[in-house]
Amino acid sequence: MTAVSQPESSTENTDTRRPYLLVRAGEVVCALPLGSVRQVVKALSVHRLPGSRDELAGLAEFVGEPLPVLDLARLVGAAPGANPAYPVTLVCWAGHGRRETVDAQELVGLAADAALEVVGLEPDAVVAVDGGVTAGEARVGDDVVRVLDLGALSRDASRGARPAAGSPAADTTAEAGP
Amino acid sequence: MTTAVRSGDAGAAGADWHAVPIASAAPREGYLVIEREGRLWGVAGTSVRRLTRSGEAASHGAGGAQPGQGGSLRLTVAGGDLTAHRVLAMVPDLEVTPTPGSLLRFWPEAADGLAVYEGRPLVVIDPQRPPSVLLRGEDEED
Repeated sequence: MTAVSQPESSTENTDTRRPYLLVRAGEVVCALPLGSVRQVVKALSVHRLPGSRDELAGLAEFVGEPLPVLDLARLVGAAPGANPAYPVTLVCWAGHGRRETVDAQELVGLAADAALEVVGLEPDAVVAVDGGVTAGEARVGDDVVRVLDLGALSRDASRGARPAAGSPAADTTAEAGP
Repeated sequence: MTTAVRSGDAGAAGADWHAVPIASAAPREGYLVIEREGRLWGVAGTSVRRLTRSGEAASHGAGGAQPGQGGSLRLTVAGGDLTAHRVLAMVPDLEVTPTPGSLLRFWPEAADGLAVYEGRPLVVIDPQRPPSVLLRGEDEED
C-alpha cells in the first residue's frame, strides 16, 4: 500500500509546474493530478453491479467504506493491453480536487496496470481536449499522456439516475496541490 | 411480531410462490441485508411491506425444497416485488453513504446509498425504484 503525498514546496517557489502521477492503463499513459490521488493499493476485490456500463468495474470495500471502482482503460477508451488484470487500484478524490475541502469530495477507485512516476507539468503544456474525463494531452519525454480531470465524473452524474443528497455536484475543476 | 401471510398473497406473479407465515416479516427498524447471485443489497426495514418465502410450504408433504435449501424470498416494497436468495442479516443500523456521482454515471439505477456489511460493499435500494435485477424472477438470471 502506498500513500501518496505532495512534494515539499519551498518558501520562494517560482516553479509553476504542477505534479501529476503517471499511470498506465492498457496501452495509454494517463496523468492524474497528484492532489487527487489519495492512495495506490494492490487491486481491491471488486463486486460487479448488474446492468452497469463497462467503465464501472464494480464496488469494493476500502478502509471500511464502499468504493466504486472504475476501469481506467475503458474510461479513457484505451485498448486493454497485454495484461488486463489491472493489479493496482488508485484511490482518488473525484470532484473538487482541493485538499482543504476533502470532506466535500467523493472517493473513486481506478483499476490500472501500474503507477509509474510523478512528473511536473507546466499548465500551458497541457493541450485541452473535449473528452469527458480526459481534460487534455501533454508531452512527457517522447510520450503523449492523457491528463485526467476526475471532477468530470461527478459533474456529469445528473445524466444517470437520481443523484443522492449530499453528493458533490459543483462545477469545479480537479486541481493539483501547491 | 408474527405476520401470517396467506397463500395467494404473494403478488401478481405468485403462482409458484407458497406464502408461509414468517415471524417478524416486516422489520420496523434497521435494514435487511439480502443476497442475490452473490451480491448484497440493503433494504430499509420500514420499506418492506411483506416478506414471503417460496418452496418451504411445498416441502410439507410435497417433496419440495427443504427449509433453507433452494427456497427464495420475495420482499414487497413500494416499487415492486424483490426476489432474493436469502436474508443475510437484519441489522439495526448501516452506515449509509450518499451514492457517488461516479457510480450514478455508469449505473442506470436509483439507490439510497452505499454501505459495507462484514467487509462487503452493498447498494441500499430506493424502495420506490428498486434495481431491475432484483425485480426479475428466479429464472431470469444474468
